[in-house]
Amino acid sequence: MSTKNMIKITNLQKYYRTEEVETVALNNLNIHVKEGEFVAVMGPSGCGKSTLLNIIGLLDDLDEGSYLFNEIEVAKFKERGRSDLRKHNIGFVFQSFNLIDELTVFENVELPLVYTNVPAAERKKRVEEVLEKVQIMHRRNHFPQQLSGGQQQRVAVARAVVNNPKLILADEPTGNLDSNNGNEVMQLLTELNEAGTTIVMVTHSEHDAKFSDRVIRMLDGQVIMETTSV
Amino acid sequence: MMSTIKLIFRQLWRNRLFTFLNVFGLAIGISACWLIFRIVNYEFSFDQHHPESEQIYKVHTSYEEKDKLDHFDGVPAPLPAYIKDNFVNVELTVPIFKQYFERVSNNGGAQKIEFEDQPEIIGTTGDYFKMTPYVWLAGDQRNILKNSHEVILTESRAKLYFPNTSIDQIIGQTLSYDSTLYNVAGIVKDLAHPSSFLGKEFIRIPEQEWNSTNWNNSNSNWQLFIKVKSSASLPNLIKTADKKAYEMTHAEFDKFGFKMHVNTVPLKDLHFTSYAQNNVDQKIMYGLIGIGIFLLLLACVNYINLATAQIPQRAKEIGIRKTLGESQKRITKSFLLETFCITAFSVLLSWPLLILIQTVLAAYIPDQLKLYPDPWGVSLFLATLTITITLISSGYPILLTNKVKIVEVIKISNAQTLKFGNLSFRKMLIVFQFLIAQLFVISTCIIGLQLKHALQNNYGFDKDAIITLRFPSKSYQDSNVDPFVFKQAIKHIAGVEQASLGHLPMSNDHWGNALFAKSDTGQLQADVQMKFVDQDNFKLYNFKMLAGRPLQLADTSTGIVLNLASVQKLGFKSAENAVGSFVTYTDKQRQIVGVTDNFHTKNLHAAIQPVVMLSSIKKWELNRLSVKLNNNSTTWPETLKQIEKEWKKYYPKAPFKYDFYDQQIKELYSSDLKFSKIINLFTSTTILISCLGLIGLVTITTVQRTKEIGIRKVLGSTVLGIIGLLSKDYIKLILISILIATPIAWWAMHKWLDDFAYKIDLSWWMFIIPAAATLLIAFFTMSYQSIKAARANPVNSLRDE
Repeated sequence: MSTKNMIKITNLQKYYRTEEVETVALNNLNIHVKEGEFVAVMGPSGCGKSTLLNIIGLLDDLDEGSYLFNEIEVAKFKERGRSDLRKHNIGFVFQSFNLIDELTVFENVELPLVYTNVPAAERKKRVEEVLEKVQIMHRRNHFPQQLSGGQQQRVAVARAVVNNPKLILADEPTGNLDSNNGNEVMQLLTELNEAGTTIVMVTHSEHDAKFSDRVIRMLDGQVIMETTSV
Repeated sequence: MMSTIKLIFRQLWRNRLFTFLNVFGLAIGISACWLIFRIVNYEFSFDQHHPESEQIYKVHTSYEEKDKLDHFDGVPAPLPAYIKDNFVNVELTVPIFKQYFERVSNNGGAQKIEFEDQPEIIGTTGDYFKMTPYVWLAGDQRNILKNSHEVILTESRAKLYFPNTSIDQIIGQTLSYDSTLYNVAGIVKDLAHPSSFLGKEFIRIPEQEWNSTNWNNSNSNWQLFIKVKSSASLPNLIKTADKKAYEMTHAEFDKFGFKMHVNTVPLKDLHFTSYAQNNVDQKIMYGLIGIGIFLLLLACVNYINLATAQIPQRAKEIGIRKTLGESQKRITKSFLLETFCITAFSVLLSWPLLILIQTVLAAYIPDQLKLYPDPWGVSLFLATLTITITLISSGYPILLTNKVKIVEVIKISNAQTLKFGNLSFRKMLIVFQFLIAQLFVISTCIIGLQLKHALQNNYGFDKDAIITLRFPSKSYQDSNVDPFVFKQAIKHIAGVEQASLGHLPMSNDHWGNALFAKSDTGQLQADVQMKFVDQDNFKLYNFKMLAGRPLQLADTSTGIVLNLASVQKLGFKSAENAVGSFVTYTDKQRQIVGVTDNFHTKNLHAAIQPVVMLSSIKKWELNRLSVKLNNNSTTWPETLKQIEKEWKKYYPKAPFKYDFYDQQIKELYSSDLKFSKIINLFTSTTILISCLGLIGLVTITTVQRTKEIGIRKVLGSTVLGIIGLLSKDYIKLILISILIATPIAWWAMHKWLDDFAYKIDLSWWMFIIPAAATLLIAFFTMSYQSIKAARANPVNSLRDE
């Protein structure tokens, strides 16, 4: 693990506003994640874990504060800049897999490479490699609905890593899986981390959190505790 | 690109119902536009392909009478020769004098072929072929129509008369026009573009017509085109010709108080000139274009509505694609491509639909249209249409996809529950669709009622169980046989109640003259319609006599019967008062022997006109026979067989043709019936498109409200309550459409009815019933989806919570 911060968030404020009320989702939050680190974010429902993950993934704006990604201030990036940063640096794994139903396993995994204009031959090679790695190659021409939950999540992990991102954001990646499949996915993430990929994972599961280097505990939009694994 | 197309096709297949609704809705709009384009393109391309067409003019006459100028598409016979001889600035003088022959046959051909009443045979000069862009296929081009026994044929006629013969072999063959023989001296290719030059067979203009000196008589069969060296010389030409025409006609025309003028119309404007033969009304063309645009908009609105409603379903996929780094530009492109694919499918489907519409509307489509398929024009039109529809239809949905917020969609398991887009905009689109549909529904109802009123109206005479026959006019068909003899022969047939010779009381024929009567204030004039009849006509048609008696044979030279309108026009106080008085008709005094009640002589567009009825024994005035059959229609076949038997005895060479008079009257409304058919078609189209949209929207609403429906059912709502809940919002919107459409339809129908002298009164129920019908159709359209949703087990819809 490097000593360099990949993510440094300072004094982050995030509000959700409706016509009548303003809810503070994240309140004066400060976190950092080092390159190659595996961080788990835990806390009760509604504490702001997913909001934090979305902000880290540049899927959502922050209202106040600073966000340095690889020492570049990205808080004020426009959509195009965010999109560029996302597709070259970040991979996502969601609880509900979020695969596109109309695309096959191969095509789903290929998608990030299409958006980064990787040539077709190279795409094929890389997709096959990553499918082998997650052991789903034999299902490459199937559609998501034809796979089990565990298989779908393996495809989602494959899609997240196919572009060799520096950072993987996983939002309760085992939430929809039984313990066997859950363990397989956690094993995959651990292997990726060992290969150098930074991982930030939101989870409710103490078991999954044990796979990480550090656990950040949140409550009401604030970090209340940080523990480092031994 | 390929993967995008693959994805699009998979999505279209997955949402088959919506794909079908979109494609079908657009296809209907496109097929209507396609047909309208073909008609409009055909009409607007008339005369646009003549070389130097801006120098070509059609010459016609106009008649000035009491500050009124009536144009007439015809010239006096001497005018062409006069212009050719006196104007050096006229480069070409082309008379087009229609020639009539009873029969044309390929005298001496391999198999004898004979045609009767061939149209488009014209007498002209060689200049005709210099003015028109004919391609010469065979024959001597140097001496065109120099010989009076030569004929030039278009390729289509040449092949008709000499099938299986090569073009070169046809040259020199003989054709028999009645008793005159003509040698085929040339063959030209048929014109490739619509043209006012309609000739198909060309002979030299007969000497007696070219050298005629009778300036008093203009005839619509005599037409004249000129090509001038410079348009600047035209005013002078018209002025000089006008002066000549006045000089030659004023002695005769001054007696009647009118004056003849010579005028011209540029060739490029000719097809849209109201008094020109074979013209079309430019306003109708613009109306058609308007309807086409409306239908297309309606189909696009339908597409926008359905596509917008589907965006929540699509949001998740868009969200994922955005998360993975797909740019908005790329998403926009893929939506454009998807709309393009749907439009392209619709264009394909609109082809068979077009064929279907063309079959249904055959009577309304110009006959010649199929001769000018214009594949390049149609291709260009379809390409432009596809691009336009793609751009119009995808604009708003693309705008909405831009607004998809990733964080809102990626965490939700059922993205269909998301609400996208401005709901009031979508509501506006539905209101717009049903507004158009409702306008058509009301119009259909009122036009139908007016036509029913017209056809069932009491015209002032009997029209049922009457057949009419026309006596042959051709010499070889024994046209010299006295019609009275035939009438007497069939009067004795069992089943024939009455038979009468003479004009029909109501028809498109018009024979007119002036009638004069002396009054206290001087002489009164009435322009009247003349009906020549025999004495049995009154009984057969059961005209109501107000005073006096019907005509008798003895009245042929002295007596006259008037209708009430004539009596009033001539200043008589009453019908009784008029009987016995004298009127002047064609310089002769005639005594009024009877007065009938008014009866209709034209269709109900026209007001009651003054009519005089005269007894005649002249064959050419009595060329129609009316036969009243007995009321037992089962005996009619036998009676008709007997009449035919007699016909064959007297006119063995003429075909036996008869019409039922009530059907003939119906044909007087043929343009109204055609209009009604078109409106009916548009009504079904707009209703269909609107309902397709409704099905889609209700399907989406049902999916979006599945959870709500489940909760309501758990809490005790009935199936009916759920159906009401789902339909209520749409019914409200349709009611708004109806409220807006009703005054507009009232105004439009009022305008349409104004064209009828005798019409129905607009009443509230004529608007309420169509409104109820539209609501019912909409309700039934929605009911399938709502009933399905209402009957679903709530456990299933609440489970995923």
